Amino acid sequence: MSTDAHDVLLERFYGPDHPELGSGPLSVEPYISPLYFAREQEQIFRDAWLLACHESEIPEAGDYLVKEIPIFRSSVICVRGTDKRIRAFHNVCKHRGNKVACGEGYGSTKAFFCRFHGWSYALDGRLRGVPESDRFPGLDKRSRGLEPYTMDVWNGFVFLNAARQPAKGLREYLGSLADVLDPYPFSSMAPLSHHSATLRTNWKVGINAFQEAYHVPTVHAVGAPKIFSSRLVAFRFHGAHRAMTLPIAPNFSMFPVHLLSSTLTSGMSQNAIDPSKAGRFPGTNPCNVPNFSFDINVVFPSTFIDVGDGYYFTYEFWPISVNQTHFIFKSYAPPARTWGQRIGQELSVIFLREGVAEDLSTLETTQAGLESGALETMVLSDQEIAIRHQHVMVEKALGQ
Amino acid sequence: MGIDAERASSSVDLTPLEAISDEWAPTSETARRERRATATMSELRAFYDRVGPLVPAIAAHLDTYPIDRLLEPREDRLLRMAQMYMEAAWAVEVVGQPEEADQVPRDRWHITPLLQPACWRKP
Repeated sequence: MSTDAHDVLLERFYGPDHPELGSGPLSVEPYISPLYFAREQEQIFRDAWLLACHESEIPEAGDYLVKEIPIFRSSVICVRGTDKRIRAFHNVCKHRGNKVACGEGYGSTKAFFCRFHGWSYALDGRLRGVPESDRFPGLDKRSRGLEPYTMDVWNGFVFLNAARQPAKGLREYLGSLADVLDPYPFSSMAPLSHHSATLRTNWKVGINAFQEAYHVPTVHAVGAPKIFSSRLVAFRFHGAHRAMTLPIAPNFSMFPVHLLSSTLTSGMSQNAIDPSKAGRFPGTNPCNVPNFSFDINVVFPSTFIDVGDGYYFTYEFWPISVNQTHFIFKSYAPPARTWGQRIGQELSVIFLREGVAEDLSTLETTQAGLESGALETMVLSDQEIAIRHQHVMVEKALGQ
Repeated sequence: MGIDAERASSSVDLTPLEAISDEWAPTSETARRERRATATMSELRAFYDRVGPLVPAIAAHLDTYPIDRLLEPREDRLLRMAQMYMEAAWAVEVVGQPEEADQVPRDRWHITPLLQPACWRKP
């Protein structure tokens, strides 16, 4: 596509094609009302598929990840069994309720032990050992295995659902968004980084900051100046989910360390310098946007799976209360084939960690502003249409 | 080790870097970020100036070792130093100070260590 054609793409308006999303200001009530949050909890999150991890994060038998689901006061273990299958269980001993895996994050074990009285569970959840079991007359060990948590796997991604019997299976829930991403080789890649923060902000304030590029020249003035376009293009709506594409700025410029890293490996900043190293990955850039950087893919209500050529990253927004959210950012890349590539990948880890730390910098002050009563509505540009779509889909799920 | 790789790795003497490896080769992302944040700009710049020109030679040297086995201690220190270089370069080239002001503070931006691939796990 010529530069002129690219300019036309960047100049395009998207709102006129989507009158169903409306065009007026949006109420701030959904971001500050405890009542609204309580309805979201029951009518959205009670039966929603939420990303927990990719199977590549727990590659060996006994590898596990503990996930906290604060709004339902649940702690969940995702664990790979000796049969290589991944299962999810409530992190709760079936004796008197203590946790069987402590802390959040990754671990590797042969079995789970409750530190209270020493009950032990196999990796497939079966109750294996009960100290002084002869003191429990009539104990049926088979009914006292770890309680399964509803889970399903798509393309290697492990999703959890708080409902015992979700209305839709995971693949049906993902719908046409998954059609686009089905061919992406997620399972050939490996985890590169894991960063998280608990923020005093509504979960949707967080989500909104990651589905517009209007903030790029200001929020990323230090960490990524002159790298990305400040306009998203090719917005695609897939039911409640959505996708859009971020181009590299046509006349981008880079720091020397990006150039050094690009001689060693591929990645987000490295691809801008030399896209030939990564090549084209299936499942990316479905609209053939020139100067492609990455696609933003939002799985309703609160998961992002953003894909580039040779790297991808995810965001998870875990609501805690109306104005508290636990945020998790993970990045992935093809496993380094040489140590030199691993050195180059370190720049990717830093570039993403620092850039997302910039994205997070406005969320708490924004929440405070919304709670101050200074404004009843927020006004959105055409470029912020994804925020409007999220708003409409939340309202729809709440029956409004 | 192939002849070309041997030549590439032996063309630059990396031994002098051993002298600064105690200070500049932290072994985790968390420790490297902390090292950067608590160093002065003149320290970061001196490290950056000293190691930067050698990063390609470090990469070429380490590329003579298989990726599916843990490195020997000397080579592991070179790897960590090259990773630390990327942190220092961020401070020197991008931010102009050890840490950026307009970010979520690092004590709230938690780094979770990943599980290693099986081939790197100690028996």
